[in-house]
Amino acid sequence: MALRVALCGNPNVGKTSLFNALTGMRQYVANWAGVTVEVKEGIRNWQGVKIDFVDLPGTYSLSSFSMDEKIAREYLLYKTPDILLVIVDALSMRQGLYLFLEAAELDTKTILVVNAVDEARKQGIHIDRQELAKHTGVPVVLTSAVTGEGIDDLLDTILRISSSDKKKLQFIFDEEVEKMIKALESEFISRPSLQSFPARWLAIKYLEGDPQTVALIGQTQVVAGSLREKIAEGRYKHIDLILKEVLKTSGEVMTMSDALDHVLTHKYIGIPIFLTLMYMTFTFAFQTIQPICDGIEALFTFLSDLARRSIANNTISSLIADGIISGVGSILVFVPNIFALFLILGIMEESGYLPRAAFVVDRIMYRLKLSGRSFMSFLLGFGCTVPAIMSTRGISDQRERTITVLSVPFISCSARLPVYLLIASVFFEKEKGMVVFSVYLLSVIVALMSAVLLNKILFKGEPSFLVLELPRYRMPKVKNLLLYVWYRGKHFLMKAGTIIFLASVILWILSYFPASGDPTKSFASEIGRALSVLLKPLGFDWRLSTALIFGTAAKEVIVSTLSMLFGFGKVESLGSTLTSFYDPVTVLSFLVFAMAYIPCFATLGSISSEIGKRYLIISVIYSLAVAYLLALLVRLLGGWLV
Amino acid sequence: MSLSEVPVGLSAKVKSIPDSLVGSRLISLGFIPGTYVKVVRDAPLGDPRVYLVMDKLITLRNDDAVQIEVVLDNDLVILSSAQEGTYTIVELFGGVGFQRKMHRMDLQKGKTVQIIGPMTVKTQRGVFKLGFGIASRILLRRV
Amino acid sequence: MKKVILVAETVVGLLCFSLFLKIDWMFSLCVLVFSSIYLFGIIDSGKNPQRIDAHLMVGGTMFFISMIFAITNNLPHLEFSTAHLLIIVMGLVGLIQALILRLKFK
Repeated sequence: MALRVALCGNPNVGKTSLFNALTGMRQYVANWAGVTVEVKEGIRNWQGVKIDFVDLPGTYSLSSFSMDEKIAREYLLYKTPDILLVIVDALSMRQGLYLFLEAAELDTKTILVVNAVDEARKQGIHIDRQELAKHTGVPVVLTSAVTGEGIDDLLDTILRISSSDKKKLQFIFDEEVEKMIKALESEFISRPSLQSFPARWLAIKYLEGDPQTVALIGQTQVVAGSLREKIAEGRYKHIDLILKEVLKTSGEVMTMSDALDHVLTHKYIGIPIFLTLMYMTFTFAFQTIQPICDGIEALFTFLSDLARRSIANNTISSLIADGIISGVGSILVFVPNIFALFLILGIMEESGYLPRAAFVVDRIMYRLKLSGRSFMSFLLGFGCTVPAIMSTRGISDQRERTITVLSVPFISCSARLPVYLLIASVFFEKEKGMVVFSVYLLSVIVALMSAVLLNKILFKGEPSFLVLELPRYRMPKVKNLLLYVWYRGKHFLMKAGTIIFLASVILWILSYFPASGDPTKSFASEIGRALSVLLKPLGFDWRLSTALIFGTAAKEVIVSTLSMLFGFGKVESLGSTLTSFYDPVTVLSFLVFAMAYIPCFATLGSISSEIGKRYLIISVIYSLAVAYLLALLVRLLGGWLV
Repeated sequence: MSLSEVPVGLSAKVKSIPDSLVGSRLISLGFIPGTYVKVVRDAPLGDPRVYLVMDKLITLRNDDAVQIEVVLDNDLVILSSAQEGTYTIVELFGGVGFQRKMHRMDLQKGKTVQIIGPMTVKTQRGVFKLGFGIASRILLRRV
Repeated sequence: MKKVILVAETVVGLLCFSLFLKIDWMFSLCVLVFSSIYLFGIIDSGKNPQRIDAHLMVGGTMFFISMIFAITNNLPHLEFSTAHLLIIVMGLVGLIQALILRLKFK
């Protein structure tokens, strides 16, 4: 039997790093709250015992206000682990101990883990382990997930208390509160439906007015939530007593975080600095890195020529050279761009700058009835829409969450970049960086306007409540950065290997047969022609229409489809062919359409799993309508200007 | 007074928290009646602001902070919420331009002034009716 | 002393901005924003002397970043003008500044 050990703690206390150190796994750890939205598991063998570690989302309390909290709490209630590790940050122990006092009522064997002791020591804070253990009544381990200090000790402690008896842990409130708790407790014990929960915990939660608990229990003799402040006050008083004995601090100087915050969130230059850094990021990722992309392109052209020359059978050589190598190659060309983008975003996230960015621009988002929290999801949307949609779980307000999920797909994800780059480099060679930047800007504007629109149509509720925790700044670690880049980039590479590989083959079949090589008479063209009737007002012919159909699988496929339909295999000749076929206005409206229309299959999947199937259909219709209108607008405006 | 009125740099003691879902969330974050909250800084557009609560930095929008009732220590009061009476000026929160402007009305650190109406102050230079923006940046102590 | 450095760097930063205006106007705006970090350091220094250090440190880091940006962006062309030389000097000075001042904070 494996020992099941759950890790819980406030957001951003280094829980995931500790989990990695304990299991030897490599989960990516971000320097902002709310990264762990799912329950992750990892196994470690220690002295012959199999220990199954479970990493729960970070929470401030065990209430049920946001999704993260609900996930953590439901796990602890319904899948009670053998041992619970409550992880607190050595530099802000107060909040962590609050969670600990709550968790202690759950009636599970508990270990208190004080993480980041190395950083505390640097700031002159000394933590007395023995005192802390005495006052809390549970084993205490001091660790640093960064240096690895205390990890073995923690594993030993887990084994030690797994074999010892469970100690009843209880934190006693004032008499008045205790009386109420006792009264409720005896009432709950008599109810068979509540038998599986710790009665004292339920009583406390009920008195705190926790919505789920109140819903579960219903009416009692006491008003729900009547002792909310008393309970919290009691806990914090207790914590202050503990800390007085345990903490020894020295001197006060402006900290590094203070100094950096002073400038980076400065009244006048905070926002300009943020915009400047974003501009530099995009220019670096899409312009500076370009020579490497050109190298990869040349390599694939060479490979495809090689295949064509060395394989005798016409059909097979065309499949390999024009279908597979060119199709996959036209996507892999963009790998350096995507990795570079994630490298910079990774540095920003790692260093702790990103929550500050959310803080700085929150006022703007607030006008749109959104918060800086959804701003983070929008930012992640630049990478890939799927993780961005998953990250909305941290938004406690259901209304804001739905709006964010429906609007994030408009943000240009990295998969749309190939389409932009191709078109920008063909038609707007000199202002390439500028054009890509404008499309990104447009996508942001569309996403934000969509948020306002949805707010007006679907909801008329109150704006959501925003709380951001600003973590300490830290120097990005190379290893962590590489992990970040790899995890994000891997997604793209895997897509190239699977969906895009398949799509390339299917596309090749559709465009090669039945005319054996003449794409203008192929199956694909038939589909595109049928559809182009609808897209005619936008100026799209059957080729562009066909590309858009295939693009729903994954937006990068638009590029490989175009290369198939025009150059039939040659990536480098695509540019010149395109210029002879379309005028810049049509291309621009195509660009805008490609930006906004139906999110890819993977995104649709995550939308339906996050907020329901109903919204999947809404999203498809909604995005198509927006795309059509925008493209039409560009066409009309363009025709009028040119 | 509410937490949103406390000038940047000052600490205040939490008096009460609204009885709502938001209130419960605030309590779990550490905004407990009886504890001190320090206003660390505000965002470039003035909203949200960063508070030091329980040793960590938490941002809160002014619309939410407005719901938190706080008191300042030692008879300290912000001019915007001062009752009629005699006060000394403890601090003026603002840049060089603001200080100069205040100087012209003889509003300086350490000076004694009289409040004779809502946001109406009497100094040696005369009687001035202040706007809320200015009045909320002047910290007084009752004499 | 530190104020003198701030003033000097603001001036050189603005000079850099005007030199880059013709070469790459978007980048010149970046330089302008980063110069204003130094500029506001002079203005902010009245209340808390440690703020000078903060501005010098962050400004230095930002100029170092723009130095790297300017160099990598120009690598394929390999033509370095006065503006580029100036930004390299500013970047290196900034790096040294940031490294020294970082010890002043916990």
